[in-house]
Amino acid sequence: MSLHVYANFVTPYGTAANNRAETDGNITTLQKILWLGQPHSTVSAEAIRFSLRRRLADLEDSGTNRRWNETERTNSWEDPEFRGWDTDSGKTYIDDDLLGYMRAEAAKTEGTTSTKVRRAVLELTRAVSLTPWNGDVTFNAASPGATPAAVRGKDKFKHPVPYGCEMHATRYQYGMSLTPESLREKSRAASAIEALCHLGTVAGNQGRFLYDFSPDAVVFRLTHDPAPRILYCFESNDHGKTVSVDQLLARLDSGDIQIEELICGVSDFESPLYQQLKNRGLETMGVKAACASVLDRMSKLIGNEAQP
Amino acid sequence: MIGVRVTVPISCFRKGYAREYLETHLLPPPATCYGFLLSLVGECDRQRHIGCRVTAGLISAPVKSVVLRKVWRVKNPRPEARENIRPDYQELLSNLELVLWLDSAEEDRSRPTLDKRVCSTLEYPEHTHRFGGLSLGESTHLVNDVSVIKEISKLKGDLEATMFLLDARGEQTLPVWVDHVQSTNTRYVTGTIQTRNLNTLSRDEIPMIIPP
Repeated sequence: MSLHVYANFVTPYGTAANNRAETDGNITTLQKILWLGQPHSTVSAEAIRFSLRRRLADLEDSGTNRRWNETERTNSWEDPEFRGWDTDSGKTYIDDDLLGYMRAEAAKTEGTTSTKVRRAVLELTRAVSLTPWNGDVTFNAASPGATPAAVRGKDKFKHPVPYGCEMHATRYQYGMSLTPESLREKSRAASAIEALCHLGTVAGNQGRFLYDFSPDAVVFRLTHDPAPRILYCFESNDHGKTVSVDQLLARLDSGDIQIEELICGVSDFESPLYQQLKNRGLETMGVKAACASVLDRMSKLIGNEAQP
Repeated sequence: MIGVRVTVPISCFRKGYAREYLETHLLPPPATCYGFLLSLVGECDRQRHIGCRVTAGLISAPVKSVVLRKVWRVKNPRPEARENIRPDYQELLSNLELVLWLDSAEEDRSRPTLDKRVCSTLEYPEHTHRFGGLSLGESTHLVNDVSVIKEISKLKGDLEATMFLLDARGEQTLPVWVDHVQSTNTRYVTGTIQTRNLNTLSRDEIPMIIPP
């Protein structure tokens, strides 16, 4: 009765320097977590949500409720009080509908529902690198005067500032969960999936978005199952050069996932991944085609369930 | 009693009093497990299954990492006021594999009990109405797998798990009911985290979900 759309995305291979961790002397560090016993670099779900909201603001005719103002480095709001949600016919925005919102004063007593709080219908997971981080650091020098806070004395604006920057040449993978029928406007589910398939830049050096998070490959699962069972299903046996989905195929073998629930998208039909998926009989196409196919199947399934 | 096997790729079970360094418990407290099971079956009424007993057991050894993240606090009700945001460290657990033990013997038996609803949701998911991502921890901490272990006695004799069990002289207090607004009505139970053979588990050792 509740249709869930799950996805697991993997990015192309690229050089990431997401230095929004703490600095260590003049080294700007990467965020890292221990993953399967080894340090892997990571990008938070919040960073991906930020980028998705930015994408939606560009794509949607009616825009988003909050829009990032690059000059003032703060959000511009259309409806900061979320008044559109007070009534069933109020004007609401796609980002609030998909990603949820909360006004700080919303909850005064436990258990009361409020129109000022909405849980996200679209959840994203933290992105984790496909390969372990092996310690790459570059040496750089900021232009004279570029970082005055880092230099003391009267030569403050004369000398360049040396610094080191941890980097990771890798791919990232992250997951998504969406229940379209929980949206105020169900058509927004399609906009979200399309935006994620063309996400573009998320997280880069000092948040300047150098790394393209648009999927190089994606696995979608449309199902009633409350558990995704496809999260972080991509692996690499050649340091990130190519991708495989051995875990996913094992799940198919065990019967946890049905083959007809899956739609796969790859960007390269010559890749070993494409061969692996095709050999197993999975519905596999280009990433954009997979996105279109998911939207088509989703609208049919929602339509069928809406009928008595 | 049923066991629900759950895998969570990344999670954090934030300690209730952690303010400046967001520490995590090693395993989800009973209140978190209960909330997860309610979400699984699509139940919005927290009072619906009070009286059930639930606790978590670790099958995999948790690995802890620390990340720096944006943390929200309420200094100014205006959304995104600068004073509401600060960076802070957070502990994360990766590659968690758990078994949640659920016993509904002391619930109101006149209506479907939580263990029955969990089993039926996983057996016939197309008959359950639920919404949103299924998470254990924060909302972005999505679970990957959920499956039911129906008969504990049929488990292999050597299957052990590290779990939180009631113990009046234990060293841990974990919440069985959380007051999300003021924390005054949060209710804790005392126990120990111990490694036990799952066949030797008795109902009386598992914390009961009861509001204050």
